[in-house]
Amino acid sequence: MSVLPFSSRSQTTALKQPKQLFCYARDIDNKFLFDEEEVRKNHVKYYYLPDSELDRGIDLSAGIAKFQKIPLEDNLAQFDQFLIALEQWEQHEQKKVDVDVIAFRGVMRKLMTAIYDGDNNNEQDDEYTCSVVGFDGQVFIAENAEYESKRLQRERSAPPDEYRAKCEYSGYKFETIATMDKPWSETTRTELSQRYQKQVNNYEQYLVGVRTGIHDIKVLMGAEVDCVWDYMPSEKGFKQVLDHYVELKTSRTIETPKQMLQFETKLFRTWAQCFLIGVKKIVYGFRDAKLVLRTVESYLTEEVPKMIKENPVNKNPVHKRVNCMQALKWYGSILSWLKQEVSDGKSYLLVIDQGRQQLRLESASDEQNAQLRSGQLLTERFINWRQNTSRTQPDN
Amino acid sequence: MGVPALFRWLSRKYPKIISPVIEEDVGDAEFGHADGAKYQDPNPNGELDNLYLDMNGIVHPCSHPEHKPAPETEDEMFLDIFTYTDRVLMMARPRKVLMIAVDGVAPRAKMNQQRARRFRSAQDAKLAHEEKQRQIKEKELRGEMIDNAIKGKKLWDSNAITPGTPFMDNLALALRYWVAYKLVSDPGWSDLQVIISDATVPGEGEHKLMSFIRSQRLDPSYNPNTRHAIYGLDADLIFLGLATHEPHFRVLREDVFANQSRQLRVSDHLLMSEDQKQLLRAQDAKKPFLWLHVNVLREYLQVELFNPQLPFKFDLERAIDDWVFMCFFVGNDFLPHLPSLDVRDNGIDILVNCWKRVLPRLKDYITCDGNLNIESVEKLLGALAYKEDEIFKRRHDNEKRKEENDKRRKVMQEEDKALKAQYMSTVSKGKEKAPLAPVATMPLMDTSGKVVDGYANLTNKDIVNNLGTITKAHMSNAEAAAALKKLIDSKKNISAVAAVKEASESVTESTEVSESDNNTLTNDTSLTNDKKRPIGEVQEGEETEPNGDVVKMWEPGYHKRYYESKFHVSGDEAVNEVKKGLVRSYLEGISWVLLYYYQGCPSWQWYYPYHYAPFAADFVDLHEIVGDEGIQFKLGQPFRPYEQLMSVLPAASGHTLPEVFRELMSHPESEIIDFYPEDFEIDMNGKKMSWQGIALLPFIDEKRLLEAVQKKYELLTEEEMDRNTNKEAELIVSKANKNYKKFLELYTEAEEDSATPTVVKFKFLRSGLAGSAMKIAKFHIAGLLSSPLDMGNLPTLRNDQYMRVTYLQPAKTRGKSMLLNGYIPHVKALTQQDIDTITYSNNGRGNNYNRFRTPNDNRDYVNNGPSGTESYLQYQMRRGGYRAFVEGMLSGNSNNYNNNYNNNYNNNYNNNNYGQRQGRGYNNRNQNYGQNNQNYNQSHNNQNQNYGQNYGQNYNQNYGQNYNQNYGQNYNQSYNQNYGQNYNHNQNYNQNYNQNQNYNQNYNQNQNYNQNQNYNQNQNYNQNQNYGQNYGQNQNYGQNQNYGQNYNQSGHNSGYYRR
Repeated sequence: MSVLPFSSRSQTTALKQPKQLFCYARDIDNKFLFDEEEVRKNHVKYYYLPDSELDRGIDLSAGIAKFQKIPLEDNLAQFDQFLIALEQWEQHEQKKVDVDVIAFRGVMRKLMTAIYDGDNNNEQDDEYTCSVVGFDGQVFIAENAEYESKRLQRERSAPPDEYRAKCEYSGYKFETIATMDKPWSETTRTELSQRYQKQVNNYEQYLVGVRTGIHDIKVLMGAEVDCVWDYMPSEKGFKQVLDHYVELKTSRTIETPKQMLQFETKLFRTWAQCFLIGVKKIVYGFRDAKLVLRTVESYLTEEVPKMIKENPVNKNPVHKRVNCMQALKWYGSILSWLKQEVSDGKSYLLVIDQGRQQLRLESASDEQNAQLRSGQLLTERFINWRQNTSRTQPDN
Repeated sequence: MGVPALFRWLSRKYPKIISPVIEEDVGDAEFGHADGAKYQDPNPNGELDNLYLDMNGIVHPCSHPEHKPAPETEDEMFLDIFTYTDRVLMMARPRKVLMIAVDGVAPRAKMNQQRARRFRSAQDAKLAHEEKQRQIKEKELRGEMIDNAIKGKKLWDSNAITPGTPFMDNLALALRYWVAYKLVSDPGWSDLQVIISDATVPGEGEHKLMSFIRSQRLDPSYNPNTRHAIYGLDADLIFLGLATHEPHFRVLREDVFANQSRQLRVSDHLLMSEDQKQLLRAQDAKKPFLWLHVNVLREYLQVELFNPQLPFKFDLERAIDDWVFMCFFVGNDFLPHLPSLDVRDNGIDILVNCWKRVLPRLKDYITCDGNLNIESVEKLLGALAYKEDEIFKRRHDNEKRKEENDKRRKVMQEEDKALKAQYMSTVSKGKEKAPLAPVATMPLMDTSGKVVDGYANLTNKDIVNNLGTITKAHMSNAEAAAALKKLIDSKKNISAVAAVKEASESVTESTEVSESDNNTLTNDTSLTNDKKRPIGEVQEGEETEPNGDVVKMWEPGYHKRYYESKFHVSGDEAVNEVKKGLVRSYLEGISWVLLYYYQGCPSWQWYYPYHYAPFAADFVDLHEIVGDEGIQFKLGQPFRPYEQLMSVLPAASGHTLPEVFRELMSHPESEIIDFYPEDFEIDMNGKKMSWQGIALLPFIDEKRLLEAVQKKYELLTEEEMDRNTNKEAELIVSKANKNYKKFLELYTEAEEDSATPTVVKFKFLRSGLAGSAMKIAKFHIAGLLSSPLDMGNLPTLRNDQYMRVTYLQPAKTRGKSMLLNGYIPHVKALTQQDIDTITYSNNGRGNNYNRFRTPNDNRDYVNNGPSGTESYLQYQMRRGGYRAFVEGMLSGNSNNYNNNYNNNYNNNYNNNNYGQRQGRGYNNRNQNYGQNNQNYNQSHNNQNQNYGQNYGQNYNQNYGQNYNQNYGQNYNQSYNQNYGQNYNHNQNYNQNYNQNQNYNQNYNQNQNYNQNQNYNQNQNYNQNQNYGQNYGQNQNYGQNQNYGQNYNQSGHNSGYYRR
């Protein structure tokens, strides 16, 4: 077992420029599509919500009865699909992806913001756990099936909280009313006005694989991107596609200083989420107690650290506030620790221990190890793929 | 539409849309702009991205100017055009795109108006020429020497400014050269992309510009905050700017109202010395220009058109579209306007008020992206129909009143003059009035002594013999005057003597004066003044004097009279048929115009086949008239240049056409000779000015014309054939342009397939222009371009220093009237006072603004486009957001926070906060239209105005001035605690059950002015605890039950309470 205290920071924060490697999508029938061109043409959403629309009092809880919600079990992180997309990319590029860590952005974000998550009530009962597998010289991190199923059970057995359901729905509703399926010039007026009555679903997803890194450790992150600000660049300009992505979120309107601080924590987490894959813009929709959209504000990812740090109304002393730079350094230290600690062929459980303010890397049992390598994390298909390529290509 | 009329109306009603153009001294051109402002310097008028030039607005004034001597040669004209365009460009300094659009072949609908104008202009030219000859003769007889050059000079035919003429060809060459020259030589132009759409590209200039702007918006990388400016004289450009829905738009135009120098007359042209000419030219070069800020106009329209009580959502862009539609209804280039709507008569205001009343009954706005909802139009015109009778009566009354006033004034003058004329007739006051020789012609004067154009063919003998009649005609003998006038106007060559005899006879005959007829004359002096009564007509019976108004719209029954006289039909059935046809065509017309502006020309062939418009009351049962399928258009094809020339020019301008066509216009055996009448009637239609009359020219039958013209095509030379083809626009850039290399490949790389030409696509992102480019066959990179002008000493250019390609716009899709994603609003220019003026000056009874108020234009306004480049500016700061919260905390006291729960417009992000940080202020001007307004204002300077349905709770703790006005249906609980010096003004106008609980606790040690006017049937708890000196006036009107303790202690209490 290995431990990384929350106080650990890496020395440098030399960031690598994020670069998108591939994209794939999940459509409304819960099917995954891997043809890049088709995904880029048909499964990307474009942002459009003019300021004048906010005066009509959009009800973000409208239509909740018709909400097409993917069943919770099916919505567990589909790492296997991610691996398929990765495999396809590697096939196309004829080489193994040159990274040290391969993970889902959601997991990575939780690790990164762990140091400030102490007051957060999300992971009250359990210590967050994820699985780590060392394979083929790379570290694979994904959600832990056991932990997730326990969480599901907890949620099911909890008394139905209508307000909470509505809040969750409002996030998706906001995404629906603020985006269009095609660029503005190709969307008709009726389509735009019908967005408010459109059925909301959380099946449709546009997912990307982004290569980034800090210092000398390279990471491949899989993540869902909400929408594109203006257009998807053409082939030649595709390197800059990350510049066009937007993260959409909703939150409660802020009316007291306390709410402001709560929002800042949320904003910090969103920042981490965007920062990890290089999304440049964040758009927040603020809904009031009746879930009516009251205002929208947009932030640039790069200005959030400054905003939080220099908030003149924050009564907390600076050292107690959320600090993005610290989070970055912490993130660097996690990565180097993982690279160091994880060895090929072995599996681990990575636990966020808020109580002791540390990360714990526990070795997984052999049984768990086998499970993880046969479908729970690594798929057989992927393992075969890698083994075949390593045979045909000399190891470097 | 009448340009000055509309412009004047707009600038009076919305004064802040105008601001003067700041021009910097450019130094002396001869010395190469040495110390003056350069193109690349920052623009003191605010930076611009794109400039669009409606070139006809430059070519016309440069080729036949009104306020300075005309250029002698074509080359001079072109140089003039260059100088003028240079000046305009220095004012605007576009950084990305310059588009020069010359009118190409117009759609058929426009051709009729062009035809009327050109026929008129030919007629005027003929008269002017004759007048000139006459004046020359006269002056020579006096002994003055007139230069032979001037004598021989024929006035330049302005009808040459039509696509297809050699002049337009030369113009295109000249423009192309000049643009290339500037691109090569002026460093400020290095990034500029110039598109020239000359007369060979079909379409009107302004519509080519419009179509370009619309096409750019389709590019997804388009900058939604592009700053546009358009130069042109047409008032339509304002509507064009609004219709693009590009918010940062302005119009650049000359200030026609500043120091108007008089128009030069024929005699002036003859006698001006070279010095005088220079002086006039210099004066003309310094004429001031104006900006018309469409973004400020949008601000005004936001206030003007706002209506919170619609069954559908209020959408400013759609409302603006409706407004533009109504302005077109009142006046456009393609249709005659309805008799009851006239810009001069506040026609637009009348129609807008009808719209405001009708809109709550509709399901949606009247227009949608250029499509009309016919039922809504019917309802709108139905509302107008109610007012038609009244409008006509009022117009007539106004006219009569004016006439009476004029008469009274003129009677005085004329008495004076008549006396002088009688007793001092031998004293020559002016050469014109004292003939030195037995002149064969006798100049006629009207009753106030001015010379009237035209003359009576009378010899001296005739004059002497008929002195009595003539003198009487010079005085206020109306009948004689009318008779003489009739003589002059009818262009028949009656023997002059006989005519005069006849006139004097009929004068004695018709002693009866029929009151109901009113002669309005073509001249702007009224020959018809009589001291006592309106003028009588001097005829046998039929009332068809060209300037007579038979219809008399102020009297009932005008409908029938109108149709019967204008369309020469009689009987109810026939009238109805005509009516239906008229209404149907008019609807088609108005749909056509709308589509023309919003989606592009819907049909090149369609035109309005009548000279007159129907009444608003005729627009009933529209569904029947239009049918189920609605109004459809067939696109068709534009005419070719010569076909257009043949459709538009009179025979007198035939010299601009190739020879083979000239006889078609003038030879009596020509199969289409009936299209080119030498003389034609002008129907004054109740108007006063001659140019307002309607030229009753026959409509051209397209088939016949095309047949006749196309027969001659084989006789044309190759060059002439080339002039007859429609082409594409061109893009010219300098070598430094980002796309230069790509374009170069078009010329340097061998074409793969000669059948399909290579097309290079480029996106907006790179250089600010989107579209595709193709090679131009005649452009050779290694070649040279020499100046097409003989004058001016312009150098020869090398083609490798610039690039010319054919330019194609991005493919067209259906336009939408919406703002684009990423739009950042400008810094608001209107103050609360301006907004109030608009809101309260129209009470539905038409225009009540003070006509004599000097328009306070926006002198110091600099239009910088968007208020910033940060993307968060896209959204207004509203309560509930994070930024808003932080800002709110900062701008109030530490324990207070401004929570302004504002749902609606007029929230200004960058606003004036007195004493607080500029630019990042929080708006304390709350205008709440709509529902749910809770204003918690704790701070300085609060103005809370709640209109509409306000469930407002106004808690105002005010340190400072508190001004609360609550109008409309208000649930107002106004709780005002005023510390310090307070001017507490609470006016509550309420219409419903409102609990107005006015708690006014005023702790003052100072003077306290309390005016609480509560007009309501409510319960007023007035606890006025006024300590100190109180001048309190509590006026409670209505049924008020005052519970309350009114403590007024000490000091002066001059409060009085009314029950």
